[in-house]
Amino acid sequence: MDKRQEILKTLSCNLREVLSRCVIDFSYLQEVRLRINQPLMVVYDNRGYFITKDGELRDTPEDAFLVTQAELRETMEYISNYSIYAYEEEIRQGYITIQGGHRVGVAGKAVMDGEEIRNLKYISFLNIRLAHEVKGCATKLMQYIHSQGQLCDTLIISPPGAGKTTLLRDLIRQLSNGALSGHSYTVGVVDERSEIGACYLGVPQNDLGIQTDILDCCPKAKGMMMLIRSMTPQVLAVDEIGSKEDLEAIKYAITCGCHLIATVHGENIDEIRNKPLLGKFVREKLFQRYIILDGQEKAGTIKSIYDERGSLISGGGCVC
Amino acid sequence: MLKWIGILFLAAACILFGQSMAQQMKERLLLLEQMEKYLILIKGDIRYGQMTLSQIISPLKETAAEPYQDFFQELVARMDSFDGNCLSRIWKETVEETLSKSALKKEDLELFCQISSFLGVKDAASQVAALEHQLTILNYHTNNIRRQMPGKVMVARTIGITSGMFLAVLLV
Repeated sequence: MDKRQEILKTLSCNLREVLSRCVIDFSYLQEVRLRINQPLMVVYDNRGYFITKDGELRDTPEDAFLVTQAELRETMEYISNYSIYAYEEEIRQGYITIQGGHRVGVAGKAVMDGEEIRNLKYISFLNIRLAHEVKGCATKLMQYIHSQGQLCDTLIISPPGAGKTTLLRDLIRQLSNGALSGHSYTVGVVDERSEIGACYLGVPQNDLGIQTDILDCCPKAKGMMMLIRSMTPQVLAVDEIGSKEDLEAIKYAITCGCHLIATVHGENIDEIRNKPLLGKFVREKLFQRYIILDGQEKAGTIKSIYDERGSLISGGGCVC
Repeated sequence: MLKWIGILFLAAACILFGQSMAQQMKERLLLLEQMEKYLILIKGDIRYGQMTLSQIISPLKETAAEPYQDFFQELVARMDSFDGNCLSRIWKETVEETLSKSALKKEDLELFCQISSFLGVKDAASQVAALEHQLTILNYHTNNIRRQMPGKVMVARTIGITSGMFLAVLLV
């Protein structure tokens, strides 16, 4: 099923009709936004547009197709396969992953249980974010994360929206398939938010390579322990580390002999050095490579690469 | 001679009609017991597997006994078509199409259709609770029929035989 069919299938019949009239390339479509009693909107090629009922893209909301409650409800039924109960955990996290690896963000009224979010009701806002894999974006990086034939424990530091998850995904794929010198690794991925593999009904919708095992929707710390014990990975990959439990699990994984590829939010290596827990890792030289992504430039731009001593290896500036 | 053959056929027809009524009652009870079984399976998969309805029903469309196999096949096909209808409507229309000609009576089908009003729209715990409640009602209904069945079967057979004999005597 191609991207167009994957997205249209999840929409209500009326919305499906409207969007199928749009003359657009779905590979440039980034988001479809549904808001109750508001105009239908899309983000196409980095720009927002309103959609009329004839499928025309407009800059202004006049004549735009209005999304009704009935259409939102019907769309939610299709997204959840008539089984909202089966997606309780995902809805609690604020999103549902659908076939194709696309992510549907949901917003509505939170039902609290003390401090925890128990559920979301009156779901009135949907944001369908289309998944776009960028295969090959980590190719230029492969030479930098190996030293004397050994894979280096690598930390990717990046501000939000700079492409760290896309880069991590391709790194995993290339390591698993053996991109460098034909040497491939068994890779274990703890995909806590289902962003890396985007598993749908247990099947990863993104290509993570032929030797990759994925623990989906599992907390990182527990997931790393489980994978080490049961799947004997040579490389462990995790996204957005930060908590004390995550870092303890990472230390354990490295002492078990696993190589680690992780990502963290940040602007530069100094910011990471100043964090109380991660800073300790930097001082103890637990990671051998630090890859800094540039949040100002195009997504995927590498600003710089450092080694474990904090010495600059590459000035970056390359777009993966 | 022909007259006697005719009387014999008539009597046999009446007896067989009585038998077929009795058989239908047994068939109805069997279908109700199967209905209970499938609902228990669905409840279990929702409670323990958190599976979508499509995932739960898909194996049943291969393994369920007729006419439920037809029902589940048609249901999954319609659910996957995303044709603009809500699940409640799809369920009821599929019941009408595939089960209305079976031995199940109107009240049995209504009980079965009541499930569609909450299936898929509530959270898992409420869903399971609602299914358990519905199973209790179904179980009570099935037990009533089971209790009454021996008497009704005997009545049906007796009526078949006596009406056959009565017609035979009348025609003689």
